[in-house]
Amino acid sequence: MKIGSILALSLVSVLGVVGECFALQQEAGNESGEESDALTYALLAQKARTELVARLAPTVCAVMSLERAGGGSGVIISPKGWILTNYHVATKSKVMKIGLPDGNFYIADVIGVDPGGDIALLALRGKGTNPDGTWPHARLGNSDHLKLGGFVYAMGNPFLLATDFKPTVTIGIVSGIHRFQKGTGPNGRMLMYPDCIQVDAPINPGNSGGPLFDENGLLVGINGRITIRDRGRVNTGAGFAVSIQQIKGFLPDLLAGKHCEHGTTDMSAWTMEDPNMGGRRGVFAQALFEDSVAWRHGIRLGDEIVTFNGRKVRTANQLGKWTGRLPAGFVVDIGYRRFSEGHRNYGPIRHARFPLAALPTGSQRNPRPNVPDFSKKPDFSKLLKAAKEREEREKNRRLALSDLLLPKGFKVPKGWKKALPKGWRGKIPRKYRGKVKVKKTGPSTKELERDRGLYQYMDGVVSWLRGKVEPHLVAEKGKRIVRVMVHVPSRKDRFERSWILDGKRIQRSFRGKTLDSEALAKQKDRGDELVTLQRERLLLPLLDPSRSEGIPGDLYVEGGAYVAGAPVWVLALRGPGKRALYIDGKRFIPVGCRYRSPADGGLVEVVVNKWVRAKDSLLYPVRLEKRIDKVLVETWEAVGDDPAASGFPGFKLREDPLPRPSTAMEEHMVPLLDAVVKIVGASGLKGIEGYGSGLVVSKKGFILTWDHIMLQPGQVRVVLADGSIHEARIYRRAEELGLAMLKIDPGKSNLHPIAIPGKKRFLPPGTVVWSMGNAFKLAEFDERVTVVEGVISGSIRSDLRLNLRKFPYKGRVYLTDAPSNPGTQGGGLFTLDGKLVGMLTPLVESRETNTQLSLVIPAENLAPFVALCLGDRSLAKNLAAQSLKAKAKGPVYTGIKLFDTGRRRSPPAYVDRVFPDSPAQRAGIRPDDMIVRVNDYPVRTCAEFRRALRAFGPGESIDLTLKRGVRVTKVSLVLEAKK
Amino acid sequence: MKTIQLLRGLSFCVFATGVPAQTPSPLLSHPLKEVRSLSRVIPRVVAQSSPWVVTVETFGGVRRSTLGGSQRPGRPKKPKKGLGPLKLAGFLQAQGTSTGIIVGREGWILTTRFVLNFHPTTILVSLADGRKFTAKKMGEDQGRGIALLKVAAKDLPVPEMVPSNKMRVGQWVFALGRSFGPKLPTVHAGILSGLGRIHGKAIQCDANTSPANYGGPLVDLKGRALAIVVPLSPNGDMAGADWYDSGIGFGVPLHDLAPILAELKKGRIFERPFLGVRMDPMFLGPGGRILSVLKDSPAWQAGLSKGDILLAVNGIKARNGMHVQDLIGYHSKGDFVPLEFKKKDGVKGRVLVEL
Repeated sequence: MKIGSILALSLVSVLGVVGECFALQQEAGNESGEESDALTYALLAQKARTELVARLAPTVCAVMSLERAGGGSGVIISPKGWILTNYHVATKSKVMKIGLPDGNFYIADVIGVDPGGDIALLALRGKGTNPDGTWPHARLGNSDHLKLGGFVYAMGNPFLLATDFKPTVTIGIVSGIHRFQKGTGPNGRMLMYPDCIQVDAPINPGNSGGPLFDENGLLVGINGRITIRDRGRVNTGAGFAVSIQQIKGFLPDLLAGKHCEHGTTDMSAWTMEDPNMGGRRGVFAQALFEDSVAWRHGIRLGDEIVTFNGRKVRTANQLGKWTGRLPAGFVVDIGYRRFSEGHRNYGPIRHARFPLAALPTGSQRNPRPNVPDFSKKPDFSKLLKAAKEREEREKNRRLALSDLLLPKGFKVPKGWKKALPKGWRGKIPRKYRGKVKVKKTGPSTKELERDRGLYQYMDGVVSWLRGKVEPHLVAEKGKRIVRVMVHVPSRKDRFERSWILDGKRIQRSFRGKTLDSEALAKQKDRGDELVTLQRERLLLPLLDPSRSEGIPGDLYVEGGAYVAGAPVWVLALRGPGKRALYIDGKRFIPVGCRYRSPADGGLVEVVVNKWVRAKDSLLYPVRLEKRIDKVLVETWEAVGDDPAASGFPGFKLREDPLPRPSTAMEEHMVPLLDAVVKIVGASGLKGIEGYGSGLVVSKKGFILTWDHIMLQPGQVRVVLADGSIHEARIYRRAEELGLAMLKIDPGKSNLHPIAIPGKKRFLPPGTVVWSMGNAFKLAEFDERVTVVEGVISGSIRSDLRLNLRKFPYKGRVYLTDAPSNPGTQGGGLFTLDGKLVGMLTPLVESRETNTQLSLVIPAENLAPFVALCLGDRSLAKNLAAQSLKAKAKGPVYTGIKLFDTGRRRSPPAYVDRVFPDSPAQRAGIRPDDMIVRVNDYPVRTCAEFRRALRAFGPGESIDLTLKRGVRVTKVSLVLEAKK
Repeated sequence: MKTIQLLRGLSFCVFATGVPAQTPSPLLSHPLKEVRSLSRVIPRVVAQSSPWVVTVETFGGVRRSTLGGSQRPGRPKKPKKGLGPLKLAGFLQAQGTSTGIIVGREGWILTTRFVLNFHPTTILVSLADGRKFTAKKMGEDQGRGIALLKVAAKDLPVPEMVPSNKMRVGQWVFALGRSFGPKLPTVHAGILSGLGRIHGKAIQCDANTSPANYGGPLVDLKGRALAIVVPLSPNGDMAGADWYDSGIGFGVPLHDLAPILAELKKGRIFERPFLGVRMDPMFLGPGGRILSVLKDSPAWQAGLSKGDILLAVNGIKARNGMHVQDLIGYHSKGDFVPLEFKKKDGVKGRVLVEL
């Protein structure tokens, strides 16, 4: 029955798709089969995309500050209303205004923050917008599965354009994965992006905190940063998103309301050539303090770092990335080896296993937003003195009407001055007692004494909370019981303190003594104790989840983990050997598991043989000031794969794996990316970026690039795809084209040259292309250069119409909307089948549009220069012929006198006079004609007409387009030499 | 037996872990196939649209430091030297060539007001087939940033237009331009990012828009025209040209212009509306609370004052202060708009204001 219904459903959906195909086919018309197939497929994929976007849109929100004008975006990740956004959007706020796509405002509290990783977690107040009271939420994906070239969607509210909060959707591809971006602030520890995703989807100010979805609609990142040029804060083609795998490492802490701390090995390692043996590159510890955690576990200066958590370390960047994803306290395993002078070789690999130290971020934010900060104790002696003085003054003062708090609707009787007795001091007349209160000018001494007592009490509480605490939480028939087992190591004391909350009633038990708020309320003169007891409610959020409805069973939190894309909190049941696993809020009890926990708080290894779903479910983890045995299990290679093979323990779960993005794009891109190399040249002058890209054109080591001022002899280095760095010499320059050829000695490296097609091709505007280059020097060593996707916008002659500034190449160029950036010059533009379209030029400013254009020199115009350098004689002849074609230029005579007033701004080119017996008269030009074009060159002013003529020599024929009255005509003119 | 148990196990699997409500479409899992199809479709769209995309060139005109019309008054800034867009009075200035769309067979061309900033003396329109005409400016809509031109031509090709309710966020849009005057229009690809922006007057796309394609159309995969690319910004000035090539581009839907096309043809100039109230940003709704009313403004004359809450504009209920501004901004100067408001003491009322 069930099977039948599944089959029926799938059949219906297949038919649905097929039916659409037919309908669209008919719409497509009578074009050729292939063309209409392409259109059909594109339309179907588009429909799927618009539906996906419509489904994802309700989960994206606009996050705004209550006081300030600015804001960003956020995404709801749980039906309970948790929102992920950037830390720099939330900063010091505790409450934020959220706009959802239904157009309404909601309020959310900031729960936990990660200033180092630029993430904040908020919780929406109240019931959700779905009919069942939940909130629409996005599903978390896995950013480690992302492949280059796949589509990603960035959603958010850039420039706060969406007044109805319907998110702006932009599309792009994954340009780079596992990118490293430095942090800001002191020592660069705030807002670090150690492992981010680079995308070319346009991200602008206001998109911060918004989601990045992959092609399957799963959340893979939070957009946070863009690269900008000198234009101002707008997108230029490279945006960065904090990867979801990094966020998952901190989610348990964020949900617990903590101020997250990133982990650090406290050592500085560099990628450098082996100082002991030479000949290869390795990662060596270059700076570490003797009291750092790495030193204390055996690593010394000069040691080579070989593995990190079982993976081989190739560059120091990798170390930084992998560490940056982990929180403080996470236990890592670093394999290192030391060079021994005696043996003249490296010793065996030793392992240092230690928890990461905390990286102080320097943020001033209050970590517990809804609980008063008891660490900031007010100066009670001062306050008490001020209160005493005030009370003395008020004792002898006569009350006025303005000192009274009058209830709403209270009508002040006429002649009120008479109503108040003369000399009335501090006591409200019997008539108004109960209705009228005296305004408080400040806390009374009694209250202050009580507060001081409470602060002292809280001091004590907070101090023993910093010791080892094992809170046990129990819920019993709607009552909330918080039992705290306190273990104070300094006093070698262990005691239990518990509270029972039953609505407004609170009961505290400690060392056999019980205080009950109801009983206290009935007794007189015990008001102080009652207030203290009631104020202890403030303490309980430290131990109790604020939105929990009670947790069944005796549990304590041992740690958190992320497994198969779902949050997991490893919780222990009371009693030996019993463990529970919580996945996405559902509890699983292991039946038959092996469990190992070393005494010094190392890794917890839980290898589970079988899991059974438990009937009850846990909602949230417990908020703790400090956890014991805090453990987070890395899940990169864990789930689904053989945990033993990954070299790192993991969980094996029975759950549907997440759909993974397709690898087809990356497979096509990788061979091309390997052919685009990174070039580093001379730098130091302002405005000159000393880096660029190049194309490998020959296995012998010839690299084609753009002739840039950074190519100074002796200062050019090329970094190949395998990370090897080679000195390059400038083989040849072609000034008239703006190209340069470099030569390196490839050594042991394998080069992957690309073919430069020499035949002239016509690639129509709209052809999809990939632009590859080292934008902003983001790729270092063996990291892949940036790839962005776009279309060929058109093809035009660079010396016509565009009015380019400082561009040596004069010939046909392709325009593209795949963005070029500093560093991409010398890179390549490729079609989807891997053929080179041309070489990327630096960004050029066009005075026609006052914008910067991304131009590409077509491959066929590169071919002769390449052939010349490689020694191919036949093609080289073309190059020589081209340069000979330079026409004999000289001053020309047209016979036209323009009506040029000679003012600072040149007027349009109106003809004033036509001289007799001149080329203009023979062509038929008359006075009052306005010249608008010379061949294809636009002429708007007299100055432009003169400039246009400079391109021609005597004897050449030009076409002039004229405006005569209201008509437009074209004439042909043969230029003469000037006499 | 075993098979049934296996099948039962499988179905249990499926229902136990739950088929996720958001099953991704298999069509989106083959991006390479999709871009390959696009690589064939887009050139065809460009070629098909070429006949009705025209080049608009302007000649002459005066470069004033504070421009007339509804520009925001302010201290004119000095133009920046060196690399960077040429800015004058804080705006990116066009210098001549732009694009236009043929919207009427009898020679009606729609373009942007971007090129009219210099009040040119001559406007020249070049068609794809090489014919050139002088054009006369007829009407303009300053709120939307468009201008209508008339050329002396007949039987011009007109594109098929798409109504706004058929547009979907996420669909492919291509911004065509002819500002460089090549044989085929230039194309910049992107998706439709949002609907109902700039007070509901424009749609937003992430295709690169710049003076290369201002005035050109946004077309879809089938080659139908959705909108005309216009440089806009949220406060409605032409300052939106600063956002060129940033992935934020605006287009005014052509179908929405149908009601005002007749007026534009007659030469009417629509100006931006002005009510004269400032809304309180701290008020969370429903409705928008007035923070201040400008003296002698339409709101002042209607009797609105500080603390009043505007509940509905033109019959549409306002959700919050920003929504009120959107609803007002959708109209033009001279429109009569009914407002529903609630005074501080709870008295409700309706009033008709002329913006």
